[in-house]
Amino acid sequence: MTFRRLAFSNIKGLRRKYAAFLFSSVLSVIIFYLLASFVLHPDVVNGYVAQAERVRAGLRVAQYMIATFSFFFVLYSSSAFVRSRKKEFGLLSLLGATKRQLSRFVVIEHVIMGLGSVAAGLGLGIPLSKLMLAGMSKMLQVTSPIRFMVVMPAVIQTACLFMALFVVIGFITALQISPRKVIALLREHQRPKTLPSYSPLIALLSVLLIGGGYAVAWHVDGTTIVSAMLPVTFVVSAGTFLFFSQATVWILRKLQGKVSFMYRNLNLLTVGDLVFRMKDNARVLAAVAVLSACVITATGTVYTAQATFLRDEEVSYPHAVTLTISGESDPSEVLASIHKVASDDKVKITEEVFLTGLVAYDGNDGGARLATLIVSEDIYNQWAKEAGRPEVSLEGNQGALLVPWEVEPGESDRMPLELSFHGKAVTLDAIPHPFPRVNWVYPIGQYVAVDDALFQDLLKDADPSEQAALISLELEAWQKSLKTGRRIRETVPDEHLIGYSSRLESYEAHKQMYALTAMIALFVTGLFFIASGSMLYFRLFGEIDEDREKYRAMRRLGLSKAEIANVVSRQVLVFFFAPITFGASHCGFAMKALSNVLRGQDWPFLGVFRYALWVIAVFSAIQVAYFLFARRAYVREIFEAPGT
Amino acid sequence: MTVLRATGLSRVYGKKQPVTWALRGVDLSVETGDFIGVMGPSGSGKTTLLNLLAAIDTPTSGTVEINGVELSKLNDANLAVFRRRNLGFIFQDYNLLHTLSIKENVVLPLVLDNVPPATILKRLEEVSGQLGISAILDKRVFEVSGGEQQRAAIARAIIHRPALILADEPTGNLDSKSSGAVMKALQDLNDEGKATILLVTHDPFAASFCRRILFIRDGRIHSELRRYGDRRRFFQEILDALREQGGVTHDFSAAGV
Repeated sequence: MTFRRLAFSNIKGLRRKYAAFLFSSVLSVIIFYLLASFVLHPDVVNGYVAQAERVRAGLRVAQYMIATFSFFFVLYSSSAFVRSRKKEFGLLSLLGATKRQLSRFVVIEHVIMGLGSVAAGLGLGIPLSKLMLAGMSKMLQVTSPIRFMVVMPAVIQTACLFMALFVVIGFITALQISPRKVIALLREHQRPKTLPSYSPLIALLSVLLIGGGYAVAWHVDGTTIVSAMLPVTFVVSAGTFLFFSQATVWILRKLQGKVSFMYRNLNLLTVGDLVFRMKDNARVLAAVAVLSACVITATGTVYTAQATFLRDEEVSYPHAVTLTISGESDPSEVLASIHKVASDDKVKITEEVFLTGLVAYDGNDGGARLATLIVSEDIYNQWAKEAGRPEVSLEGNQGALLVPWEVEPGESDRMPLELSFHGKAVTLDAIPHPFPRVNWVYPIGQYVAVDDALFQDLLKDADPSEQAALISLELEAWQKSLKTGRRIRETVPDEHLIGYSSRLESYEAHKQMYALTAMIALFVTGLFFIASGSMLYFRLFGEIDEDREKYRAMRRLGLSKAEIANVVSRQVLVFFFAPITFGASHCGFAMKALSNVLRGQDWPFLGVFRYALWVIAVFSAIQVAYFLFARRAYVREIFEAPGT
Repeated sequence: MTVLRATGLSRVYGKKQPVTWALRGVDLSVETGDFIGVMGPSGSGKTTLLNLLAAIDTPTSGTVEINGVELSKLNDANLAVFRRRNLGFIFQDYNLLHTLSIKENVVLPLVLDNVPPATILKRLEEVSGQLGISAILDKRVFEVSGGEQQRAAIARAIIHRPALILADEPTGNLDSKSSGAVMKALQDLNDEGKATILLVTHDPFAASFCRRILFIRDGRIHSELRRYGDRRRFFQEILDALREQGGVTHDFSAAGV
């Protein structure tokens, strides 16, 4: 039997343990491929992405992160896997296997595992990328910005990277098993556990660090945030690490001292075990807590930024639809058909501006040909009365310049206004008058109401083509009214449409443009949570052999399966939710800081935090699913062995 | 009063022919105050018997009744509760939980039964005095010797005053001095009327502390020996019986009688 054959049959023999290792490796391959297929996708490389440079840079960082994460993940799984088999290696060296042989054995094993993982990972990753694209398009309510395809460069990159990774890790692992310490290998599983120690001082320090970081985050403003951000992140991260390694032990040990609490139901068992579990896994738990804080905050920020852009949309486009039409179409008829369109589509018009008048140009203007709509006092007052707005009263060459801001009563900011209409100079003595803000529609840039007599005088020379009407509407639920907007535009023949401006069109275009960015944010966050969940999952399973022994002893003492499952559930619960609770709390303070910065732009704390909350909710749900899955698998695994 | 009654116990391992018969129709009854040893060579079925009596394993045929309750009629949760109230266990490898202190290990059966903390502490004082482990109560499991661990395990087995204590090779991992101390502790408990004990062992020295020995062979109870005099003579009788049965008994030289 050759050594390669031995490695092969060993894999077959230890199916269950290998399955766990293989599963974790396959998962990393899938995650990496999904990201790589995104980054190297031709539509992303060549296509239009909002803020393309920054997004691509961000993606590259995410790719490095996932690669590093995968490395440690696989390294961790590998070492846990090898640790659980130390006895086997001890036995092999006892039987005379040399260090060289053992190393070769481990490396060959890793190469085989690598091949298997890459094949399975790509086999699953490719169809999964299709599902993912479809799912995200649905979530973001956009048509998928990129096509589904097998991205060859990503396949090659993934395969090469992971094969290299497995070989390197194989060598690292081979170094860890030295036959000189046969006895240590054989006794690996009987090593006694010392009671975790802690220092109350460091535990206190960890609380102070986190609290201090929080206090600073609570009080920063736009000027201090730049200098505060890094130190605060560092301090809170350090505090989190210390908290998980010291304060948790402190709390649990204090709890153990309380007889009235401990001598009740299953607390004795749960807390007793938890002390060890928390201490053993302190670093992993703290790392997951800090990383999830970062990821939740980053995603929350992306969505806040998107919400900011959405709000800016309402600033740039005060009305959902604004159109100016030439006098060649009858404005009243147009308005009537617009009303019909709206009622057909069941879209409610919440504000309506309707003025008809004459198109005049600046008197001394030669180039830009910016136009002014001159409206008669009567027509204006008729609209103002219906809309419940202040009316005007004008005489002679007085004009009311309709401005989009509130005019203080008694304010008389008179200014001369020189216009020309039909080759005739019109000079007005204009005062500002408040008027709703409407979308800016080229070429008409201002609106002015004049005395009725003056208007009639101008009107008698006017062509229909020199007449125009302004119709500007705000719609309820405008985000969903793109089609209605388009139908409103179609009520006017193209040749009679002077100008058209719609927030709906702009919003749609921006939404598509930002879709990829948002998708990437969602995607990277999702991958991170899957990866961290798996990390916890495998950490949980790392010591299952010892645990199984322990639970078997408990069974004999007269604990029912249900009671053991209860003890296990409580521990797994803490294991899975302690990190994300910390992550969410950290994120809350980061969001408070963000809201301080945005306060100038009227962002209340909850407004900002809402998006983070949304992210937290989604990923808590993922975590719950993971928890339920992990618990079930773990409990089943415990009771699997015979004699329990 | 009969604490345990086993009738026609059989246990078959394997589904394919030829199956392995671990036990072939064992009848057994244990009265209050008994101290019974079950002896036999490896593979004779003694561990299987103990597992069946403890309801850790289910018999292929036959029944086990403890305090008049038939174990096969209980579901998992009820069985667990029944087991922890009526039975005490002592194992070869002690089975103390390493994540708990000695004290916490000892009180575990009472804690599981939701006994008030004050009562728990009173009982703890009682049993730790009996077994001489008061000084080590706050230590961790790995900080104390094997003999002390086993005495802690005995304390755990008796703290809830079970009707029956089942012990599986309690001296198997101990040196002769610790074995003596552990067995003496069991004997004292039995003498004071505080424990009814059924013990499985292949160590004649440990067996010599019992009042009655059942020899088991090829899944059947083969013969029985009762103790009428002092322990040393009983030890000789056990050795003779084992020799008669052709059992290999090299252990006695190490037993330090």
